[in-house]
Amino acid sequence: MGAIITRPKGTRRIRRIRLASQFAALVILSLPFLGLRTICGPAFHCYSCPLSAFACPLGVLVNFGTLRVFPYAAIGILGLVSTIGGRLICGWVCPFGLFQDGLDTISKKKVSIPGKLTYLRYAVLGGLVILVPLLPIKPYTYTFCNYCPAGTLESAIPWRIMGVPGGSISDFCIRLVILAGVVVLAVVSSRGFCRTLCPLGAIFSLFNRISLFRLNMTKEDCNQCGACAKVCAIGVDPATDPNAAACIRCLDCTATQHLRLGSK
Amino acid sequence: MQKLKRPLLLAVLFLIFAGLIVFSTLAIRYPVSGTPKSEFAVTELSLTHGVERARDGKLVLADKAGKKGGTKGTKKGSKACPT
Repeated sequence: MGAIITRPKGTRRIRRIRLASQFAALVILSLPFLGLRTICGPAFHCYSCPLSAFACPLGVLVNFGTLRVFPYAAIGILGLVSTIGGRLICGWVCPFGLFQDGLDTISKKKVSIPGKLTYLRYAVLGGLVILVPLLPIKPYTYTFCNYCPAGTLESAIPWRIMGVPGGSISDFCIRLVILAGVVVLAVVSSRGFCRTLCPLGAIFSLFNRISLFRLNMTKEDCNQCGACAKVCAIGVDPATDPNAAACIRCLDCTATQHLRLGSK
Repeated sequence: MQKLKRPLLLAVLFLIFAGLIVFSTLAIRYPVSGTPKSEFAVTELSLTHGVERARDGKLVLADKAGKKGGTKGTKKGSKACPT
């Protein structure tokens, strides 16, 4: 509780490049004139956002589940992206990750998240994304999209401001409360939502250990100094488990000498 | 053999996932209100809630199912997303 995370200077360059990558991805994912809204995008970005260029992969899974249709293309795209980089998308592309990274800078005092809580994201994936849409209830209710904080931020709030209400005011208030909770979580714990609740991160994390590009540790040179663990904002110890499912592949730890992203 | 395990697994996964995309693009056609539509077209319709499962189990356009529809930013006849 209350640990202050200090990052060595070596990570600054990586963070700058990552920030540039996240902003570039945000711009590409927010170009509606690309006309690619029929294609499932690789990152967490609400389809209903007035500026979205792609379909949200979670929205596709939820809505295809509601229709009892198997999402071949969405599974294929998510599978390919995961097989290539695991959670690399979380660290370098996801716009909601960028939003959380911004919130992360507000407070340096961080609360550690118990390891067991990180399994919640699999429950969210299995429950709200896969199971609930298949239940014989009123279509499109109680699914992940109804509570999605990215959907609230990128879609529900902008449309309300533009005077195009989507759901009831009580639904909107529930969504605002959830978003507020996620914002608080992101302030007190780096990437709190990604670590505990994000169902897309849960899909990507299944591939972290086997993906084509993953972190390689040169164990021969490692003197167990713990520098890589100190750098990691997510609380992973890269020295013992460089490709842990929780790792969002921010690559901050590669600023230390013994970890590299590679295809080995 | 141990060293080959991961590259082989990756190759199989690549083939499966790329195959799913190719299969979806070339072969998958869903009859929506009697008209065959690609998975990509159904993706957009589903996200705008412009398509539904009718009681007889067939996919139908939402406006043909007698629902209220049409909103800013969505296709003609499609419903707004609850967001």
